[in-house]
Amino acid sequence: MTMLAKPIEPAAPLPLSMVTSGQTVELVEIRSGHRLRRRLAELGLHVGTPMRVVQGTLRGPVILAVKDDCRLALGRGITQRIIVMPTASDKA
Amino acid sequence: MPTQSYRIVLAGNPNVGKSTLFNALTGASQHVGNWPGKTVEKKEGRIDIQGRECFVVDLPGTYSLTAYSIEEIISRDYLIDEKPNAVVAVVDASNLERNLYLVVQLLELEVPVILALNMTDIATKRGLNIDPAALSARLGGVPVIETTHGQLNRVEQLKDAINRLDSAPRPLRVDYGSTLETEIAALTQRIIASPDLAARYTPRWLAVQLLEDDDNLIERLRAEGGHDHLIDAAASAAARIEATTEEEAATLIADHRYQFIASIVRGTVIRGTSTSETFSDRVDQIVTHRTWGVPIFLLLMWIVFQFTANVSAPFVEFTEMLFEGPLTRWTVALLGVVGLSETWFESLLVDGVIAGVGGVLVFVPVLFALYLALALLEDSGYMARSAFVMDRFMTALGLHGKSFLPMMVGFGCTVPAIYATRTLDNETDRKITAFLTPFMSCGARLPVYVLFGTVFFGSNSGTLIFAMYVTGIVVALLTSLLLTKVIYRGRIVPPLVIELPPYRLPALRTVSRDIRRRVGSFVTNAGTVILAASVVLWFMLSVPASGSLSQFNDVELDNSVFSALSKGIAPVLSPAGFGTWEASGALVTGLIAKEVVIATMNQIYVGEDEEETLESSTFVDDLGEIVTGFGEALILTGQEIVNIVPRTLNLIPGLSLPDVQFLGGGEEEELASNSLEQALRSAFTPLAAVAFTVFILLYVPCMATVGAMRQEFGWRWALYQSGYMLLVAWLVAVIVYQGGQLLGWGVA
Repeated sequence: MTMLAKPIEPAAPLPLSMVTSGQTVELVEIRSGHRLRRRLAELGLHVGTPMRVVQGTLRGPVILAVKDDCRLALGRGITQRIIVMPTASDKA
Repeated sequence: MPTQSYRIVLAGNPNVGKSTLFNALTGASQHVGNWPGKTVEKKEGRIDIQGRECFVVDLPGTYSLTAYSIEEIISRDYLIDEKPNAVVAVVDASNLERNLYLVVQLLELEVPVILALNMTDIATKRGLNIDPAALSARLGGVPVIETTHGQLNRVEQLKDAINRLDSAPRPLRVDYGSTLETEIAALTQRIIASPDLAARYTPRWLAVQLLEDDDNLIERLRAEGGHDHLIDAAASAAARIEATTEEEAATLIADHRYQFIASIVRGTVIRGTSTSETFSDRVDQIVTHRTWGVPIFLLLMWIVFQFTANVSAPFVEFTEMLFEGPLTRWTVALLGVVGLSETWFESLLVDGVIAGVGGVLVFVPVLFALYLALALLEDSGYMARSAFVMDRFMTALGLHGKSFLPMMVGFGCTVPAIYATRTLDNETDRKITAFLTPFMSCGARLPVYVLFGTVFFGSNSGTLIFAMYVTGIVVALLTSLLLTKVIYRGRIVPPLVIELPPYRLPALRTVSRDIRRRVGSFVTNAGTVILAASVVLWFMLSVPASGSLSQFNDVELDNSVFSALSKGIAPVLSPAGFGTWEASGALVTGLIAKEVVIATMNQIYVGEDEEETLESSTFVDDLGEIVTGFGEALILTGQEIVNIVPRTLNLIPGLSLPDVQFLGGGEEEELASNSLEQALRSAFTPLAAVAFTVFILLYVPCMATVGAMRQEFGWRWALYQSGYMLLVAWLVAVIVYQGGQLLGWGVA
């Protein structure tokens, strides 16, 4: 495990595939066709959705806790196209 | 209200406890079938509400009325076309906002909705408290009934709500903002102006769906014909919306729906201190870990494989004994009583029907073990995770993460592997995966490798066996690349998006129901194909190719229609080094099942002089044999389950634990008589033997596979696959033989 620098300056948006396990983020943008975007919305993922990364695999697929209500697994084809903003997690 | 059949449907997201509620509602009166023309399960039942007979249908789980998968299309079409009298929207209270998305769409469709609030116990545990009365009020008076398992009188309350349901639905209006509302109003007017459209669809709902660019619904409208103007108008309306708002109409619609939902949830749900990390999350941190995920997955698959291959073996032998011993003897005895002893009819029944159908039914224990393992993985929640774990590897091959499992199953038996593709949502993915599974060398092919390996390579036979498994995998990978990069070139692998249900203990009821249904369909479907094939083969072996028909059933083997046919095929196979009618004949019968190959070779090469005489035994002896055989099989099954542990631990290098033996040392099964070994040595060169085993590996594995492909994908695909496998088997066998000769191998 590498040392994680504590972000002091305001965090920058990044693709979901880069987020590490345990981090809480908020969805900023989905860079995809409207079909996939619509499907993700129906599954509960839309702009502004708060979520926590349960399992981040770095550049790979991701398991998300969406609004703390359900768990979604997303393949690596999508996670690179979902842009999120890290939020301060209440629990480390 | 019409007194004729009153229709109720259950609709809801997947994994919300819909089936459990359906079972509670309909009890024993339910009937499970298939939706017309689909392999999707249709569950129906009848209930009585205040003396009125009601017809209940459980719709497949769906996230939205915008349909993507077969299941979702079925659900949407049923709601639109059948116009049910009551729609029970089953909702997971612990995931209320997402679940309300479908409810909002149902209300927009203006169908009479009752909201069944399910899984409130889980919600409460997470600190979520929902006020049903407030929720009902905010949804414009939609009845809200708590239906959580264990809730007192939940079925009666639900029935009561259905009984009191207002037949006039309360349309719900989500405010989509002025820009969208203007376009929606214009489109709605257009739809109302077309009487046949307005009669079939709810105008405002259709307008919103069209603005969302619901491709499947647009396809449906185009098929109905005459609506191109409307579709074009909707497209230009969506373009205008995007121009003014700089957002896609579909995104805006989803956002407004969620805003609307948020306004409903506010004030009806009280969120306490939530424990954000659940038990399932902690399990997932290990099980789906980026380093440990794959090894854990492979280990579980190894255990499933062990379970299928070894645990079922004692019962396979028991079933074999049942068919070859008592059942055959009883049939012979019965025919003797009727006076049909020693006739062609006896031969047809014993050598044709019992041997053929019995040969397939011995697979039932294998399938039982496999389906048990799969049902446990599925119901515990692990199956969904395995797709996540294998996603990276499979996308590199152009396949879906979920395709890995059927391929693993294929090492046990191809037939259940083809059925296992049902876990894939996308039809093209299913077809490609099912196309590849037969190349995974199944258990039935192994004895042929063992026989040829020992005859021609002695102690090096293991190398031949290993080479066959590797060849199968390589051919599957190349075929996969051919399919995904050439034939379906440019196809975008649907990205993996799956909901992960929480881990839980598998429910005995679900597991046993799954097994019963799947094994049952195997017995009926594969059984009919095999029965027909067995009878045909028997006739071909019994009818003389030349001479008078009086020789029927008394024909010399190489004068039968079968040998004539084999002789016709033989020249095609000679470039591969085994162009004799005997070898071709064994391959032809091998089309029925690979188990038959060695049996056929025994008959052809060794002849019938070794045919065992039926030892006489009494009925009581037979019963005793069945009972002790069954008991023995039970004990050995226990032994094999225990042996999974040492065999799995032996995977650790340097460790070699012995297997447990419950019934003393087991004797090695004798595969072939010495005379067969000698006959093979004179009939094949070592190189031809290798080419022959390659052919066995790669060509059509069995009729049951063809039957399974036909059942799942239709005749066309079943024939494509058979043709492709025959071609590949021939090509590779020829390459092996001709290439080997060029290199000067196997000539000696």
